[in-house]
Amino acid sequence: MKGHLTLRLDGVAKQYALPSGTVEALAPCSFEAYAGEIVAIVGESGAGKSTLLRIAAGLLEPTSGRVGIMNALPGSRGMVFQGYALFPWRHALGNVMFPLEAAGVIKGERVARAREVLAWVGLAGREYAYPGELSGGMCQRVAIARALATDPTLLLLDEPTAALDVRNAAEIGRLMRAVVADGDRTVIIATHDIDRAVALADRVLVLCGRPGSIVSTFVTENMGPAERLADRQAIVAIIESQSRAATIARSA
Amino acid sequence: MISRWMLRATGLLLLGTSWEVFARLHSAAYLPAPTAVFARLAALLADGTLIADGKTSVAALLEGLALANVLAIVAAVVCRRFYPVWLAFEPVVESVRGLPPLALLPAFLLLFGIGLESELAMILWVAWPPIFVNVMHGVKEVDPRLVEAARSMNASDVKIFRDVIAPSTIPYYIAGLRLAAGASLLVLVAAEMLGASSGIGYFILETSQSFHITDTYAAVALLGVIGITMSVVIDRIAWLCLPWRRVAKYEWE
Repeated sequence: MKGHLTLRLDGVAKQYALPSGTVEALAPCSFEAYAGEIVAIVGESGAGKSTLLRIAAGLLEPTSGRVGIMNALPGSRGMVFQGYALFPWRHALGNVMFPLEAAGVIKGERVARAREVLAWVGLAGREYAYPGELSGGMCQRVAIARALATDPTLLLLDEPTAALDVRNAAEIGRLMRAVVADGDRTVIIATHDIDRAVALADRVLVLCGRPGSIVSTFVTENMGPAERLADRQAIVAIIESQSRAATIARSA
Repeated sequence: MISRWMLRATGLLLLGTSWEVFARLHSAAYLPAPTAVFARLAALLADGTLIADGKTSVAALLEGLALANVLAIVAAVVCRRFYPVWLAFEPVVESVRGLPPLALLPAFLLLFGIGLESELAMILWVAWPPIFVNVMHGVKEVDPRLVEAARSMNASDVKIFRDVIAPSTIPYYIAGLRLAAGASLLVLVAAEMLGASSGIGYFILETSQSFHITDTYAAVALLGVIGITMSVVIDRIAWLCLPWRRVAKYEWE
């Protein structure tokens, strides 16, 4: 564990009330995240990764359990959505300024801050490009810049590399490492890309089953490539065995 | 590279040439050649005969469209804000929208009398539903991820409406405006023919009844010019309001 506690999820579970009945999306899950670390949540599609991330982001209320945030001020959590969720009618600078506008930051300051964050993610000179004019990797960097604009202590990313090629995915990984480098911020990533998660994260939480629950945690911090590869194989084995068990249970 | 304007001009040129050839070959009394029609149009504009009628029609058209825009946008904002109003209002809009507007013209003439009021009422009747329905459709089609993203950034409801929902609906509004403008021109001419003492529709009826056929076609050509001008103006509005769509839309040029 690196720094101070930034997030604690204590037995959070989620049920959705649908017209066809209640669907349990997430079984009680608990974990903590600390400043300066990258936590990856991996699992199959439908295991509840995005639900868990949205609960941590404060976008969903858990049906039960508690969410503890060390810094609960507005703008202390930044979220990067799957598929970027950029506003297509706003250029890159306008997108990054959006959370600053919502926070009531005066125009001069928000322009300066947005330019600074865009330069930090490597998009200086592309401030006035619309999302439709940018590549997938660039859009993801704008989305990250937007999430970082209010200088959050907790950055949450939903499938940040799902639509990116290897080079751009590696670039996003380097950015995430830079985000936590000063030891003040925590990054939590939900991904189905186990290779990327094991290569990047300090801790990997394995979410399995329906409803999903955290079945295993791998601490990968300070590990070499060989140990990370071994962890990767162990995670794949866990997910496959859980999937097989679920299939057998369903057919029984 | 061939521009959009060149392609558009080619279509009009082909139509005009075919019409000219047909009219000259058949020497049809009731189908004057386009060169004769446009020469007559120029003369009627130069001596002011069609200027007054044209001004009357364009003023009624713009006034009616402006009223329809205000009504449609206010109704859409109210329906978006108060969902039960939308639930109560939608069947009414859908049922009146299906009525043929020209069938209602006699009723409008009885209700509003001969003149501008009945023309404006007709334009309002046909123009506001497409704008309203398109804007409401646009509101329904707003990407929920964008609203969720705005909420994650602590945006207020007003900011979400102004900066997420309103821009999302602009393309739908433009599509509604285009439909409304075309329908308005159609009912305006009909209303002027049956219940007015001025305007292009009135001029068309009067000249056709006195067998001044070239004058009739000149007035029809003027309607065509007004229709094309409206289309260009709406294209321009779309170009100005939708800068993020320019790249994707025009990159093939």
